[in-house]
Amino acid sequence: MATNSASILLLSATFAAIGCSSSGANGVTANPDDGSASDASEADDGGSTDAPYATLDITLPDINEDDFTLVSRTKDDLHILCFWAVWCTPCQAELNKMMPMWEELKGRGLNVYAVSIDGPDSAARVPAYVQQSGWKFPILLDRETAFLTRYQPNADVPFYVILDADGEIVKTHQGYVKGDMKTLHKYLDEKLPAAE
Amino acid sequence: MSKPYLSRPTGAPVRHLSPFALAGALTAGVQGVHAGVSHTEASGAETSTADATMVDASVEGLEGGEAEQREREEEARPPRKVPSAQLPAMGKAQPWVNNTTWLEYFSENYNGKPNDDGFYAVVNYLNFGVDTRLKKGDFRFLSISTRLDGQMLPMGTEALCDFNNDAEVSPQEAAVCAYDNDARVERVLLRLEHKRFNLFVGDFNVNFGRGVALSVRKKSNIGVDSTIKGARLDIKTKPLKLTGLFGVGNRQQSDSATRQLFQDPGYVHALCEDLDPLVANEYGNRLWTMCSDMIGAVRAEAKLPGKVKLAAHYGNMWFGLLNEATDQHEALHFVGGDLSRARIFGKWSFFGGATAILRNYHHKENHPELVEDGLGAYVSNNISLGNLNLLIEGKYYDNYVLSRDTAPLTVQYTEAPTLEREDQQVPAAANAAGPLLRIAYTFPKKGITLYSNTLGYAFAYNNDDDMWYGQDAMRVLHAFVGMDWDDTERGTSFKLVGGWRWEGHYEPQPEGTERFDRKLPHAEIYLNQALKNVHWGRFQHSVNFKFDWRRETVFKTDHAKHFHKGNLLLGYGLSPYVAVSFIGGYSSEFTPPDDAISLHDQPCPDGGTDCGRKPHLWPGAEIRYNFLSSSFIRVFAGRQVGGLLCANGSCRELPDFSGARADLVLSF
Repeated sequence: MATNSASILLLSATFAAIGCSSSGANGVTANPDDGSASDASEADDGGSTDAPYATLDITLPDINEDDFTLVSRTKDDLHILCFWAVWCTPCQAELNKMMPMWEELKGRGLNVYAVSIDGPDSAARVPAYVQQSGWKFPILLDRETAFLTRYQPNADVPFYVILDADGEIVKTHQGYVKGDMKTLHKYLDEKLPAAE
Repeated sequence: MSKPYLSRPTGAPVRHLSPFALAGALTAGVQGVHAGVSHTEASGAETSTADATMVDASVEGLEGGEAEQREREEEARPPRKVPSAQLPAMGKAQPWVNNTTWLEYFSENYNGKPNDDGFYAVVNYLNFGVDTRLKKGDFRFLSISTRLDGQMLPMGTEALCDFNNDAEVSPQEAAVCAYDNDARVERVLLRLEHKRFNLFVGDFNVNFGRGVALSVRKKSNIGVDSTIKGARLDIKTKPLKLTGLFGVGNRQQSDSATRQLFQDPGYVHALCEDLDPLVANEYGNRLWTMCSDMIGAVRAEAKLPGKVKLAAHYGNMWFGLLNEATDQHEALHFVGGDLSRARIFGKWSFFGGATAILRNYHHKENHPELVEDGLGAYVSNNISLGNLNLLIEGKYYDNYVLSRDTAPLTVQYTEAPTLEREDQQVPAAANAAGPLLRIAYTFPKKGITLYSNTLGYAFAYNNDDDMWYGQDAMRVLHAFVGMDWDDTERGTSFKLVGGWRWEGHYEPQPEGTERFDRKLPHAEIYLNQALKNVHWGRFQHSVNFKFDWRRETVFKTDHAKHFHKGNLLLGYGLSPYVAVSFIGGYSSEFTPPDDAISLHDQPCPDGGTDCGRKPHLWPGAEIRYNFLSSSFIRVFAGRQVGGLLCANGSCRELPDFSGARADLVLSF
């Protein structure tokens, strides 16, 4: 009986902790400011607070399991959906290299999303890997690979797709070799509006 | 849709680099030269930078009226249209094409049978579709796509089906021979997305509750690509997400490891036994998969106050194939749920889920001995404390089989987390229980992460046996430590891993009973380095190196067998166009042919000389050329060692390979 009571107390405490977290107020559903590896409030989309130009038809759960919808703040925005998995070494190298590029270009309308396609065996390691990598852009989850196959039917990674502000595909790219980011940087530098 | 060169890059030590995984490892994770793609634009003129600069010039400093006028002009300006890499759009509709072609020569698979060596195969998957972004009302997206699969064996199938090599294919041999030419509509999908619902008709993937309950998707490593073919409706409301689906199991027919053809799972189903037109083809209906395992399921996910997510699901599976003992079909119910909460106190993410199954409920009256239950439960805790990360997982699977059986080629409808690394054999995934602890510490400024990973669980090979105690109880212990270092400034990626694994009987075995004991130290080193000072041509140069090794010791009764296994991989990348790789696989598990190089003495079992012999060295080379935006051609020639490989609880003994493969991927 004592054991049962202790179990019930422990269970109650666990549920209380789960349900009454102080961090609950931080996350904002369907907001590009949420979903990065770091605290939701720390994420930086580089955009303004004006009304968005367009809401794209892409909604995925973020790393906090909240729905995240892609939003174009201006008509010149570009979105890179970069698909990766914890077992994919070149995917990680690609995103590591994309991080400084995003920080440099986000003010010009570049949005980067690291979309994890990890299945059940590696899904639990996603938060750890994101923390380790220090990625600040939103981390989204495509566990059924429905979005990956929408853009890449073979479902192979590394793979990224670049969408314009209306969600139209402007470029796709499969694989990663060191040096690829230079080419991508040049491409984005030409396509994005000049820095103010 | 599996390919012989599936890109399954991994930084983990490679247990077996399968024909599927090897090239992925080669061209991606291991050698870091997976793709590298030309950034040639497919169409359209580029918007000039000068125009952009002019349009986006800051309004700062302009007089008020002039600034307002400028803002109005800016608002009226049409969006910058960046040239598309796709086929020309047709209004709002965007057509696309993706085609993959394989040319393969299977020289030798070292299985001792001559009939399935020395043949060619030509395989083609043509994917095409139209995506339409809808802007009327709350409808958002409509996509229609299909995939046509074709396989041709140019030398015919007579020699391949002549199992006893008597220059004649008997009716018995023909009846079991799975080598054939084939053409079929393998995938079809209509996807409609609305603000409030998503509708899928055709082939779709599914993943309920972190895969514990129901999971069907591509398993690249073992070459299994399956879907549910039917209809799925996701209804999205603010507090609730509801999913309902019904369909039949569909698997890709062509096996990329052997080019034999698989039947659809459960084919021919009871419903079709007397309907000849539906079962006219030996492997499955060529136009629309039917008459295979039937699956129906519903799931509700609720977001509770405090951002807690609570989900419940129920499903039924009716397996088509007859139970040999009863001459009746098998079926099961599954029911369960899960609870999750991310970032509790900003530090702790929790997931816990459990699903129970009741198998053969319909046999209760006449065959009560066939009625079984099973349970699958999984819990995950991820705790972040500054630069320290803890992952604590646990699994409990007791007779937890969401398929007709656990045979290697049976499609499993669950991917209950195994807690194992990708490169490990996973014994008894349906009958195992134990925890995992992973501790990682990151030095952010240095880009270094140190980690340790410890896994232990009890299992029993036979689901009826006690996994905890007794002579059938088995144990796994696996511990490894590693370091990841990534320096983006220097262009360096470095990984180092070392560990030890043991599998074996938990209790002593009676005298004369075979005792299983498997010991396995392993190590891996990986380096990918950009060569910034090399400026030959217009390429970005990089080198890749990976070496993985393990020494395995297997005890069976009084017999101990030692062998080494691993890969040495060297690659050179010329981004964005070319990647070349050399793969030096090695395995001393079997006795080598007399005239082959031997890594060490490996005698035939029992001191004989007439045993299955395989080479110790498995060299190969690959070159890849990228063109257009996502297109490439890749050629491999050499040997690839096979062996048992597992992916998310499904295991398969992949054949060895010697020969050549070329794949051409065209994507528009």
